[in-house]
Amino acid sequence: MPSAQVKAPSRLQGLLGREPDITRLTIMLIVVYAAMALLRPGIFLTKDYTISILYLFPEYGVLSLAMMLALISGGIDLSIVAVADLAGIASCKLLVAAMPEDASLPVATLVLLVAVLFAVLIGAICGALSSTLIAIIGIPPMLATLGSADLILGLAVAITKGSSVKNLPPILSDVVNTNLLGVIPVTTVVFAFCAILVSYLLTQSSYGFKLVMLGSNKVASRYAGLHNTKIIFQTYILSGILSSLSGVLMCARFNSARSDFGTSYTLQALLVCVLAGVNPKGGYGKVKGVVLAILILQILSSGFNMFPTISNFYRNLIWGLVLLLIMVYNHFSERHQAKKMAIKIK
Amino acid sequence: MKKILRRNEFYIALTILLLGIIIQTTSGQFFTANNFVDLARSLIVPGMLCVGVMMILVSGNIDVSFPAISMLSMYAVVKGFEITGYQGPVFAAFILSGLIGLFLGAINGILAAWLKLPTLIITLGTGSVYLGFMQGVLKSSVISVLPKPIANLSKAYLFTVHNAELGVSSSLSVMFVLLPLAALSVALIMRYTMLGRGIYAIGGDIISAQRAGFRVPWIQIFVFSFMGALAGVVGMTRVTLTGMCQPTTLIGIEMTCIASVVLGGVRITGGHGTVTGALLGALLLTMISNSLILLGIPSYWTKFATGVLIVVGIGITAYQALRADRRVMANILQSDAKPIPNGERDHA
Repeated sequence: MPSAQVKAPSRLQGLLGREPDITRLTIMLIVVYAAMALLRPGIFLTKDYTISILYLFPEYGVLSLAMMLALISGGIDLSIVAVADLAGIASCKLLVAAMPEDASLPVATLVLLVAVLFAVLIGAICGALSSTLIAIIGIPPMLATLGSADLILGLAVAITKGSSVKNLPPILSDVVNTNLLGVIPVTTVVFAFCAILVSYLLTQSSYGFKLVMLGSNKVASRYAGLHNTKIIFQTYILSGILSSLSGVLMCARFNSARSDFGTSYTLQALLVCVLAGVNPKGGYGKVKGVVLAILILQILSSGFNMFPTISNFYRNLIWGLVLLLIMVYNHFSERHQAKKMAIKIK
Repeated sequence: MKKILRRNEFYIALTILLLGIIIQTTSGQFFTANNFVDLARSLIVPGMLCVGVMMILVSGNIDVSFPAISMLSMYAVVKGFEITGYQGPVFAAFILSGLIGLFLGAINGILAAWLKLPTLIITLGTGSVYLGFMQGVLKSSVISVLPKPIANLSKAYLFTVHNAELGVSSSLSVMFVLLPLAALSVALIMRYTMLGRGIYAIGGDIISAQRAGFRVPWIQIFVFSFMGALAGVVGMTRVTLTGMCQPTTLIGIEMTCIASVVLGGVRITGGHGTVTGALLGALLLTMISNSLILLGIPSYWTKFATGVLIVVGIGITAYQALRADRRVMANILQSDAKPIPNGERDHA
C-alpha cells in the first residue's frame, strides 16, 4: 500500500493501512459482540450460547466460501443451496441403504465416510455441470447456475418425492454434533478445514493466482496464456464440493434430508461475501474477510433470537438492508480512496 | 424468407407447435377450446411479467425483486381496502398498486444507477427488504374474503367455453385485456421512442451509449420503475384471478420469467430482444407447466423436466450467440487465420 510508504508510520498504522477492510471487519465484530454482550449478558455470555454460535455458522459459512470462489472468478454460483440439498439427500439415502442393522463402530464409521465421499462426488458432478454450461456452451454464470440449480433441485425433489429422508443411522448426527474438548463443535472444525484449504489455494497455489487473473480480466488472462476453461472448471467443481459438505452438515443438524433445506442461504452467502469485501465484479476476495463477516452475521442472527418480540420475518428485512448499506458504504469508501489517489498523483 | 428462418422467434414458435402436436397425440386434449382458454388464463401473469423482464434484460440489467414488489403492493392495497371499507371504482386498486410498485422499482433503479454494481446483487437485497417488510412490518397473512369491488371484478368474464367431452367449462377473465395492453405499450416504447432505442443502446454498450448522448442513469431508473409499476399491476391481477390474497403467491416466479424470456431469444448480456420473443417464451413455459400432467409425467418430475428444458433452451441461444461472436472475431482477425484452440475460448 502506498500510504504506508509516504512517511515512516508506526507499526500499528502500518498494520491498519495494509489491510483496511480486515481492520474494519475486526472492529465491527468487536462492536457487535460487545453490543450483544451488553444487551443480554445473562444469555449471550454463557458457554452454551457461544457453543451454539460456533455450531450454527459453518453451514452457510462453507457455502459462503463456495460463493466467494465463484465471485472471485468474475462469476456467481446460485446453485450452492441446490447442490447442498441434492448431495445431502444422496448421501443420506446411501447411509440408510448401506448401513447394516447392528453395525459396529468401525463399520459404521467406514459407511459414514463412504457416504460423505459420495456427497462430495455429487457436489463435484454438479459443479462440473455448471462449469460445462459456463465455459463450453457460453451461458453467463448467473443464468447457468440458476438453470442448473433448477435442474439439480428438480432432481432432489424427484428422488425424495417432495418428502424427507428419515430414520438416518445415529452415527451421522453423533459424529457431527459432538464437541471436541467439550467446547469446539465438529462443524466448526469442518469449516476451519475448508477455510484453511481455500485460503491455501488462493494465496499459495498457482491456481489461486490464475483465478484472480481470470476474475480481473478474462480476455487478458487468456492472452497471457492461461487456460480459462480449466480454471472455471476447477472453480465451480470446488464450489460444488464445498456446497456438498455444507449439505451433509445440514442433514446432521436436522437428522434428516429434504429438498428445501437452507433456501435463504443463497442470499446470506452473497451477503457474507459482499460484507467481506469480495468484489462482486471479480478479481478480489480474502478468506480472512469471509470468516470475520460470517462471525458478525451469526452473532447478529443469534442475537435476534434473544429477543422473542422480533419476528423471524424481520430477518429478511434486516439481511437485505445490511447488504444494501454495505454496498452504499463501499461505494463511498471507494470514491474516497480514488480521490486520495488522484491527489497523490498530482 | 431467409430473414424469418434466421430469427429466434421462428424456432420458438415451431417448438410450441411441435409440443402442441405431441400433447395432442398423447392426450387428445390440446387443441380444444377450453384448453386454449385455460392456457390464456395462466399466461396473463407470467406474460405481463415477461414483457417487463425483457425490457430489463435488454437494458443489460436484471431484476429479481419484482415478485416481492408485486406481492408487497398487492397486499398493501388489499389490506388497505379491507381496513377502510373502500367501495369505489375498482381501477383505483390497480392504480394504487401500480404506484407502490413504481416507487419500489424506482428505489431499485436509483440504487442501480448510483452504485453501478451488478444489479442481481442489488435487487436480491431490495427484494429481501420488500419481502421482509411485507411479512414483518405488515404481518401479512392470507386474506380469503376480498373487498367488494375486487371480488366483483374477479367474477367478471369475457366469455365461457364448454367442453362437452370432459364436461368442464373454462372462462376467460376480463383481466386478459391487460396482457395485450402491457405487451403493446412495451413494444411501442422499445420500437418507436428515443427512450426505447436508448434502452437497446445501453444494453449493447453502456459507454458507447453515454458517448452518443443517452442519459444512462435516467434510462436505468426508468426501466426499473416501469418494471416496478408493471409488477404492482400484476400483483393486483393475480389477486383478481385467484379470488383471494395469498401474500407469498409469486415467490420463485422470477426464475421462470427470466428463463422464458431468455428462451425467447432475449440476451441476458443485453442489447437484444423483442416483445414477440418474450411472449413466445412465456407461452412455451406456461404450456409446459400446464401440460406435463397431460403428457403423463409425474408431478414430482415437473421441476426437473422444466429445469432440463430451460437449460437446453438457454444453452442453444447462448451457443448461437457464442458462435456469432466468434464469426465476427474471425472476420476481424482474418489476416492471422489461426483458429482459436477449442479449449481456450473467450468466456462470455
